[in-house]
Amino acid sequence: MRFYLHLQYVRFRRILQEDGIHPILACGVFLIVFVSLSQLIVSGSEIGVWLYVLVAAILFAKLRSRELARHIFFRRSFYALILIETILFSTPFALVLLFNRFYYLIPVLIMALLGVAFFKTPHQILPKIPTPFYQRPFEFVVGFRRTFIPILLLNGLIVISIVVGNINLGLVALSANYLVIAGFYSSTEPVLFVWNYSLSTNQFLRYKTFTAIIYANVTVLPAAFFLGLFFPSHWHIVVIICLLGPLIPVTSVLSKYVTFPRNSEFINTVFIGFCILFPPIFLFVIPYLAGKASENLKSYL
Amino acid sequence: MIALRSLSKSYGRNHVLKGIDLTIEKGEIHGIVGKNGSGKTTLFNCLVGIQTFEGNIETSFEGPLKNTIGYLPTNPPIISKITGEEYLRLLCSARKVGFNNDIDNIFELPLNRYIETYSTGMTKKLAFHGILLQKNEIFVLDEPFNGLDFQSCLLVIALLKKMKQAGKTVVLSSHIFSVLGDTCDYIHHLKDGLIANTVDESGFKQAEKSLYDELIGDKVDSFEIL
Repeated sequence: MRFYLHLQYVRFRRILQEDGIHPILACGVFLIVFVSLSQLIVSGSEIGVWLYVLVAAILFAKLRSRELARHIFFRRSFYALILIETILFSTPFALVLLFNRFYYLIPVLIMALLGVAFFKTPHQILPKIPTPFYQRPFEFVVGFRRTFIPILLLNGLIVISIVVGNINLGLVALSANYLVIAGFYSSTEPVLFVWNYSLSTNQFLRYKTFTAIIYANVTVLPAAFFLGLFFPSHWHIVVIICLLGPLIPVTSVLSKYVTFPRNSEFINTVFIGFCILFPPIFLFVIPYLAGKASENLKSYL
Repeated sequence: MIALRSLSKSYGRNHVLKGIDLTIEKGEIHGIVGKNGSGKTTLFNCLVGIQTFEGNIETSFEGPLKNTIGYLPTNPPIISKITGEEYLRLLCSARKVGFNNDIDNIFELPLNRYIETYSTGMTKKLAFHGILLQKNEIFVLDEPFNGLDFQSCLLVIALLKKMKQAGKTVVLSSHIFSVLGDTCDYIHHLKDGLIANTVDESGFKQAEKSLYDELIGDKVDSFEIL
């Protein structure tokens, strides 16, 4: 098991090396982005803190890769491994909660992560989840099926915000939807799927970004409409979120194809993190990524 | 027509293809045989444009060659959490070909199921069906019979014959010589990075015997079953 954990570390280091990033620099950048985003969410309102716990659980569900471990370890070792992974993953989130004096949420966080770690999520059990995105496969089809629970929860929070009259909760949940959607583009498809397109690199990137914008709006706009309807004094903020929000998945699309076919989850996260913290950066990041992605895709299209 | 001129490919010091010259006319079916590691897949990857190479490929087909090719790799890559139908729709949309919901499900696949639940043979059939729907002019099929059951093998052979009638151009590889003999106009033996031998239908039997003698020889006779 120790070797398995060591291998996870080695894998992480290799991924960074492939992206040409020194591990120490990566840790530094990640720490800044993580702490800044955490403070942004936690310092807003108490409901934002609950959302923080939810985001931690979603990320943990997304990052865990236990199929290999399930096959090679005895049951006791496997459970011990899950426990270690849970402790390692929950520590930074728990520290943020500790420093912000939300002590009572630390056990909630740990219970939520253990729940995610030990139990099968419904989408692993259900045979097929229908989606409205079948016309333009595949990222939204796959992403929606993998994360339909978080999407339902976020939209549930928007409904709650309308019921209890808390606009801040609604706005945070609305924005979080775009983050979840950006995650649809976090993993890369096999080369053959890109090669298959009879499009130029720029046409391909336009097709992908256009799909991301349209489908992101299909996912988010109904909830945004009701939020604007029930909080008419804040409609302009809702509109700003709906205008800026799609830039997050667009950044994710372009960032994915900059390093294609290698997976660029780390770079993707860092770019999006910085853009959220300083939105004007979008103006520079998107054209930069588009140029790089177009250049990189020339080998495949 | 597709003409490969002095096509070479190296990985570092490993020269996999050392100057392949091969001309394939429209409507012909060409088979490639060779040992594991002889470079068949590398040759296909170069032909379809997934890998870079030295030399050149001339073609009489209009537009970029890759846009007219349907490529079936040995192990077709899949994306989890999409259904068979969505996979076919994806391949069609990639080539701007309309997708009809009432497609003729010739391989009788469970198209409403996630493709990660498919067997190896089912995935292969789905991928083959996908490139057929794309209305390609050229088909590059790397081991199309691997993992298929008997019925599906017969079906693919029949489809290949129908593709030839329709004027489609096919390049395929297989370890099963008899299957190539049933379908191909020419068979090429890829050896040491070069086309060592090319035979037409009249020479298939002799080529099969020569290949057997070369690859197997007296290995089995001298091997003792304990």
